[in-house]
Amino acid sequence: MPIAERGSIWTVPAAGPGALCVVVSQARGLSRNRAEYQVVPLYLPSELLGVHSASDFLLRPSETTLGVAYLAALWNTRPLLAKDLFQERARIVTPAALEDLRDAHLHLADPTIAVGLGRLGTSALTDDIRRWRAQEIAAWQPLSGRALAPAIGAGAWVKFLVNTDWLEFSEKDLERFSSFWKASDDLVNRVVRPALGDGRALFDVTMSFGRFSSVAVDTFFSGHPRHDSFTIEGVSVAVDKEHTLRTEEFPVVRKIGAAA
Amino acid sequence: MTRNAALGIASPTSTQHPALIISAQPLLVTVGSDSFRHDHDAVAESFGASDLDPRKPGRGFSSVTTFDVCRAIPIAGEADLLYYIGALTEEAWKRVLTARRHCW
Repeated sequence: MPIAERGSIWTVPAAGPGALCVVVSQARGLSRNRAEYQVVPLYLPSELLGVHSASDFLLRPSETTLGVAYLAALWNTRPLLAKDLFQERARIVTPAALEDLRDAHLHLADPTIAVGLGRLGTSALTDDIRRWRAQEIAAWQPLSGRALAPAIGAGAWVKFLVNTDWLEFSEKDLERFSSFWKASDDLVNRVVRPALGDGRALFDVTMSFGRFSSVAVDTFFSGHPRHDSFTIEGVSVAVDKEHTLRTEEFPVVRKIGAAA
Repeated sequence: MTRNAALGIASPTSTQHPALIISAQPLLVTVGSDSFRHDHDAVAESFGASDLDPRKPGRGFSSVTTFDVCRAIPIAGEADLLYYIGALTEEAWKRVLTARRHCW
């Protein structure tokens, strides 16, 4: 997965043959190991039918290593995953051009931010250009969708208190936890002293750890690798480097409540 | 509110998301969510009912909604905007503009 710098210009084959974009942000999403960038697609003026509109930013030939003029299409700016950047083709070599491009990007939301003279055009949009832009947006849109969709799809998360730390669990973590919890049923030995009350049933159970394989123990305690010791109902349990329990066997009184 | 399809999002769990219009011409939005766990390095702003201008009423947010304001995405046209949630107050919009200066 490439690490792109601001001002670097990349090919994006998934958006079409010859598709180029300039990276205008630092990488984000690194904590998820899923880097994404805000980019602006680049077009030759001839591709835009000679129309230089107020949302087309002029990059002059001397300002990039491409050596020819390009228009950065602010109307098609979007987030892109790093994996969709294929090859670094060129870069902006003039810091002032990159600063002007930043200003033009901010200007979209805040017209009080001035943009360098001659960067943005004044041409009116024709119907042909509108149609062409719509096609380009459609061609690039699935790429941005990839940047957005998994994050939204995996949005659910919850925090649990484990020992003294609050740990975050994603939807996937919870699925794993659920399967581990089922596997942990093998750790529960015999049920003793059942008691029934209004709307609740209480049980005391003995949990015997010593007779189970390291695989079962590993499964039970794999909620978070950072923690090598746990407290269950006031009894400390330590796990060694091989994820096997140091303690041979001891009873744990655990209350299980169930709605009647 | 915007259709996922208009944003290129293929999500099995939803068909639409709140969208904050960054620019009307060209039409650019940033996508919001009330459940998405944002990255640690995201520049995000959260808005609720008190951030909407009562003089420009809409359907309102269903809950506090967070937008990664550094993401700007074009949508093809206003037909992809499903319904109007509301308009941010001047103060809330200023938060967006200030946050966007940290995107670079």
